[in-house]
Amino acid sequence: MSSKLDKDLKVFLNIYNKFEYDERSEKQLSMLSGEIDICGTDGNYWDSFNIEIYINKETYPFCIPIIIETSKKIIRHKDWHISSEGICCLDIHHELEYLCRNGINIVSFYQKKIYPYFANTVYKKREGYYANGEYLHDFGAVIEFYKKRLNLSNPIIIIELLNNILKNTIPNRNDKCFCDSNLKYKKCHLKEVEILRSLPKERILKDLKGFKATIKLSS
Amino acid sequence: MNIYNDYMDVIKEAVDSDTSNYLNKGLGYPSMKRSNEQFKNLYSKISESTIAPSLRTFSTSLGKTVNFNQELGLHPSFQHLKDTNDTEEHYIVSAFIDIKGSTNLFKKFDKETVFLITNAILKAGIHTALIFGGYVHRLQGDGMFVYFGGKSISKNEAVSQALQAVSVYTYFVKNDLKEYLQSKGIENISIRSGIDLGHNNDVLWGNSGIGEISEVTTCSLHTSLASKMQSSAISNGVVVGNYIKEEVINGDEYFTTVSSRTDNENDRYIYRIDDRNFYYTQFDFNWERFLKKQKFIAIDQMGNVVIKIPETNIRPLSIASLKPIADLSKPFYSNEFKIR
Repeated sequence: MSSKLDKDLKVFLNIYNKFEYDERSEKQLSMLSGEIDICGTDGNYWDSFNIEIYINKETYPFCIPIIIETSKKIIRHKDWHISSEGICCLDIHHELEYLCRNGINIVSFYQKKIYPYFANTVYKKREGYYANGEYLHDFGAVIEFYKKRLNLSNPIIIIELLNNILKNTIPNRNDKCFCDSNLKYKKCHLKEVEILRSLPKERILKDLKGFKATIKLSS
Repeated sequence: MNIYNDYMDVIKEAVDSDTSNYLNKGLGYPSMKRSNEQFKNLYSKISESTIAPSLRTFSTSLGKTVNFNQELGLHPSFQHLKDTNDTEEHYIVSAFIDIKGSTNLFKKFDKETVFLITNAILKAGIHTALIFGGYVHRLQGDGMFVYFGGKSISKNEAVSQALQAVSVYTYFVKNDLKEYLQSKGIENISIRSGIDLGHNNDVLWGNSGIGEISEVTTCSLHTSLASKMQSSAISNGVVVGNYIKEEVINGDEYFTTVSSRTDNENDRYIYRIDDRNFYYTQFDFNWERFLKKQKFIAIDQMGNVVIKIPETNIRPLSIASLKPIADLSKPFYSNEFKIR
């Protein structure tokens, strides 16, 4: 186990001591299992779920923990963003891979990704919809991510950008931005491109294939 | 902890109506004092014979029936010993709980306000003890001497209830109460507790005193040690004897010797009889860790303790309180997530 994981787990288990740690010495993934209690900001209790958090011992902190809901309180249906095995889809892959690239901390991942997912599930159970909406299923989610998070909606521009990322030909900071905004690249899409550049090559290739398919469909 | 809101409300109203509020407004402002009627209203706001609604909801959710028919100095299991010369051996858990630093309240508030504050704190303590099956044997200034256990309850459960009651109450004093009083310029309010268990052959119950000036009480080394251990506790700390530790499953998780805290071997034993080879160890009790493990406790997003109280028609939950946290999540369905 990495010393970073060891240190972070101590902090985690001290705060959330309803969880237990199983190193699973023979396996690549170690496991935290326990109860996640959902409470509102007013100090009222809503509900609890039993969960397992799988962490890659070798690559931590550069990994994405996998969460399994074991209490079966969430309907196993894709509208509830959970697989038939109970694997919870916390966020779009791009966001998680971006986090992973920068390195996670299990405490902060629990507070900012795992806990809100279950709070949102409780919210949907009560209200019938997620508090902050949800991504479309399949490639629709990727299109939405590019539009809302990266401010990119033209598939032709996106395809060109993704090809350039693969070839590592990125505009200079003071060049005109590729999106035809008439702004300098550093004042326009620099941050967004940095997110894309941090993603695994397989993700870029997959997105490229997806956007190419959308053009074919519309032509 | 929402369960103490009604007690905190009395404290807040007492502070808001304190004479100093009027004096502080300066010259030209009429000097006013809290009316007798106002005082009485606040004084009686938390009934002696019923638990305040906020705490009652908690008690109901625990499924506990609270026995209010208790008299100081007359434990229900041993009341037959009153005014007799009989004695009886029976185990008991003794807990001494004391609020420290309440004298500081006089620096800021008038005596009526101090009375209302200390009374609300004490009532919250008594009611907490009662919810967890405790019997308040004696009140001592701002402190309480509470027994846990009796004829109809197992030793193990009595220990568990004592630890639960002290943990919940300590959390209230250390967080809700301290935070509020600090905001009013009152520092150093804290709580200290000592708990010990005396087994059957170590505890003698009997009537002590004369006629009405008497009480049914215990003669036990471990009752005396509980009081002594309270003095060993740090601010907002709890010290317990070895017999308590022995009754707790996974005790090592919650107890560390006092000597490891003070780094002084002399503090390891609270009592020793060298001739009889009797060495009795005192332990710091990690009540926060213990509390978080209790079934009636939830741990919120940031690791704070929240009481699990189910929603009722009288107490509907507000979805608005969940939204800021739920808003951080935007789920996405994918079959790419896999456990290898």
